[in-house]
Amino acid sequence: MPSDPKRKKQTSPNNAQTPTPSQVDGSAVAPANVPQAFQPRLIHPDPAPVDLEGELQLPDDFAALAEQLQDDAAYLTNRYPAPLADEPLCATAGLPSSARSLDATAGSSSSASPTRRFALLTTAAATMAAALSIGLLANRPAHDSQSSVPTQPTVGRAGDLPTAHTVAHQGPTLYDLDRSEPLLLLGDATGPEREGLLDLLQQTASTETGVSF
Amino acid sequence: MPQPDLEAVMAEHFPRIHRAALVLSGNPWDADDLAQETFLTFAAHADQFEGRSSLYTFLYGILLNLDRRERRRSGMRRRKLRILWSSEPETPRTSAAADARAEVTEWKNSLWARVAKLPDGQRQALVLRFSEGLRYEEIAEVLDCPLGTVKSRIFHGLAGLRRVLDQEGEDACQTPAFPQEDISHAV
Repeated sequence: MPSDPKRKKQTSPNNAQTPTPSQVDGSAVAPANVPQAFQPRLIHPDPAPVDLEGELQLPDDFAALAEQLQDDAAYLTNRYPAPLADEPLCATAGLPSSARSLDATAGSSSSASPTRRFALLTTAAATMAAALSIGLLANRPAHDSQSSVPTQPTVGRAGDLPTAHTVAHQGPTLYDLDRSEPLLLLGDATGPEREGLLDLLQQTASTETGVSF
Repeated sequence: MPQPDLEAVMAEHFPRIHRAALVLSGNPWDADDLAQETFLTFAAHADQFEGRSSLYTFLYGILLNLDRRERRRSGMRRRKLRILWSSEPETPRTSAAADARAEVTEWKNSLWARVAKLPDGQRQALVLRFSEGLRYEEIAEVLDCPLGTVKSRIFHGLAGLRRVLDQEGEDACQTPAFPQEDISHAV
């Protein structure tokens, strides 16, 4: 059975050490567990090969890789170009148009930014909740055959629930009454955006509301 | 110093920031988010831009910081999910795992997917040099490191990329093309 050198060292630390001059003299005995000085050996990577002008000298295979990286980046850029600039960032991020000037946004203190963003989100959520409530009120008579509003135009067949998108493109309905925010936004919203809006609605709505698609 | 107009800054620099974000993230959706967040961060901290460097190097610095933060977060999420899954019985998956990154095929087939396996410093230096075409001095400014370090990172990044490709080649050679097929009857 092979012996464990580490274990052997732990059991008899003094046996492995050579006697110091002071021990030989017998004048003083060094303590057994003196902490070793921390002397890390830093390993620096080899410097890159450069020519006299300081330009990086790449071997042939590295140069081929570099060229391939450039080609791949160009291909990816052509395949997935940046979105067009006609949709401003402020509109995408839900910021007011005044935020387009950096004087308005960067000049404000950083502590005011979250408050302002929260106020904007709350306003947007409240507007959305109001629009949804009006939409729900407008949908209710359409599903009820005993409608109390006989002159209301139908928005679809029974059981065929209209989406916000289709309703917005039809004739005048109760949606048009006192509506501050076009419901077309919901029809254009993607799944994650709708999910986010619903989360906001749940967080901010004071009364119980329902949503139908 | 007068603050630049955000619309003008975006119109001028958004495509290049988006390109770098695409190469770093591997899919256009995260690239959109990263690029937009870069400009939002710039809008909030524009007063820190003193005009001593180019505006785009300042923007690249923001982008790389955001990318590093996002990678750290996703790495943490992945570790947590792995710990959760390790307590579950092993069942074969038929769909992508929840911790799988969204990556488009074109990116996965490109060399940039291999670059993503390199250490942060080398990866960022390679992106700034070969995707963005920055000069060594500009890269040193963005990464806030000496010029020699930039060259060293690029050189060793390419060497690391070479090793990754060699390893992939070895793995491909060792894996049989049809591991389930029994060809003993043909011998």
